[in-house]
Amino acid sequence: MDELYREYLLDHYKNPKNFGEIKNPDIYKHDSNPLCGDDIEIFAKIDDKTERIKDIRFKGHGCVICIASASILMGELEGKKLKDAQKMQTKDMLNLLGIELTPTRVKCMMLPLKAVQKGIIDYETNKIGQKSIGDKNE
Amino acid sequence: MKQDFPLLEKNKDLAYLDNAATTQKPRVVIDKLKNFYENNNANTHRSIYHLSENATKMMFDARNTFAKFMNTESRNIIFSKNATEGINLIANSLERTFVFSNEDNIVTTEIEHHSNFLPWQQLCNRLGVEFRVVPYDLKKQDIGKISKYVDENTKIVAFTAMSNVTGLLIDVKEQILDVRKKNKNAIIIIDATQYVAHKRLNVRDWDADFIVFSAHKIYGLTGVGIIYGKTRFLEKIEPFLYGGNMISSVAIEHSEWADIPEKFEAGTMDAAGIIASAESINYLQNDFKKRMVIEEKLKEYALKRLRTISGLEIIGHNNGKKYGPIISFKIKGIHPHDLATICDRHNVCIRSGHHCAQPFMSKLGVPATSRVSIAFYNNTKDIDKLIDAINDAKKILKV
Repeated sequence: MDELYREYLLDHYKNPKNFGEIKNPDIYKHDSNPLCGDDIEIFAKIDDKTERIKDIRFKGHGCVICIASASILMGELEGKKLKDAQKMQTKDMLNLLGIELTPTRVKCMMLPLKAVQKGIIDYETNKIGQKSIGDKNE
Repeated sequence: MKQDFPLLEKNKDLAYLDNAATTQKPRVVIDKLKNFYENNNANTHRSIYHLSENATKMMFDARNTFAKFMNTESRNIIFSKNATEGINLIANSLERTFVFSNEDNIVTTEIEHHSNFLPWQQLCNRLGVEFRVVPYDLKKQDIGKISKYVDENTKIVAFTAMSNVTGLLIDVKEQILDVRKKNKNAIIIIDATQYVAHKRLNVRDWDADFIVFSAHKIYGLTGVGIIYGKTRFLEKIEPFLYGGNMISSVAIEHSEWADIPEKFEAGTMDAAGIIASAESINYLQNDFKKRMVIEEKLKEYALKRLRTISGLEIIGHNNGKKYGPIISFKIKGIHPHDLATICDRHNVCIRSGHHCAQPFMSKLGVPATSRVSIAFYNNTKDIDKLIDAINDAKKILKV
């Protein structure tokens, strides 16, 4: 069996975990990889006090690596602190997936994480924006 | 014929089927490059010692080779970095030379490579000129008559002679005749990047004002592009790049440009690359017809075998139109990237992606396709390996 297309990755690809939408999400991010057309939407609910991810889901289409990566990542991120999610890097994803990849395929794998991280930045910037508007009103 | 190509000779098990991206290089071309640097290296057009004069002469001969290949004169051949730079040169030079108004329009097609799309789109945006894109008809799998989109306000018409996605051949001669009937002044630019490796390019046959292609897709080296231009346009239009060698005189207030083609070749050119690339033309010209017959037969063989695979859909190649040896396809349940990775495991090189033609991909309704592109050095064994790899991908991915 091909190392890259191990059974568990194919399972994630065919039956991805946390696939779907969340209504009124605190984080929504759409991102795509123009090279191969992979396309991912991320939805997440955040616990404001603990700054942890309460619930996270994704939608989209892509290759085995991209979709399996998203599916595995969603499980990893549930309950995680936002700042820890922001710290995740390529090597963490490679460890989670348990494979080695060529540079182009690394991009497929990283698309979901990058979308999440961009979404967190949006979320935090919005929070700062709201606070400063609040400050002005006080 | 693989024995003429060192990379293929060294990798006997390799099925290289990504020739539309770049072709492999024949030994004679690589030898020429090495020989130039070992025996002839000097800056061209600069000095009068014999080494430089000799390099200049080699460059002159190379230009002549490309000119003869296209049935034109040396002064009508400009060298650039690649076809992309060639089209950017033409677009920028035309913009600097002619007056455009917001009543004008520029016409291109939906099947263009981004390199023959973006320069025109951006020029239109800058100048407030209407950007007209001839649509691809999904039913007919063709672009139809370009002249339908041309009127008396059309300034530029730019289109490809062969699609880099589906291999569709455009009848350039007929299209240009039709365009000229509606507007005899429109400047016509042809992207021959895919065409030139598979069909005879005769500039007198087409009557285009400009034609561009890249040497590396026709067994030459990367870093060398070829622009053909009609004399009256080359004489008239402003240069694109300014600097060394492209001048006749420079003063603080005013400068004069060199004669064509040097007017468009600022700075030290890739002389070694140009000289070696001309060798690829000499190589290709040997038995050109025989080689094209081989490609045509291989294309038919590939189509026949691909059609036996269930769930595989070929884009085009069944509408009575002519096609070059490029085949794009999709397979239900398999992402092109996964297919390309599994093909690679079988030592089969195919392309997956949008092929730098996103507007065309959008029309086809797919983010990406798998693409096989054939050169005369391929053989039926390469195609058989491809078919085995596709069947293996279906097995691995359980579709």
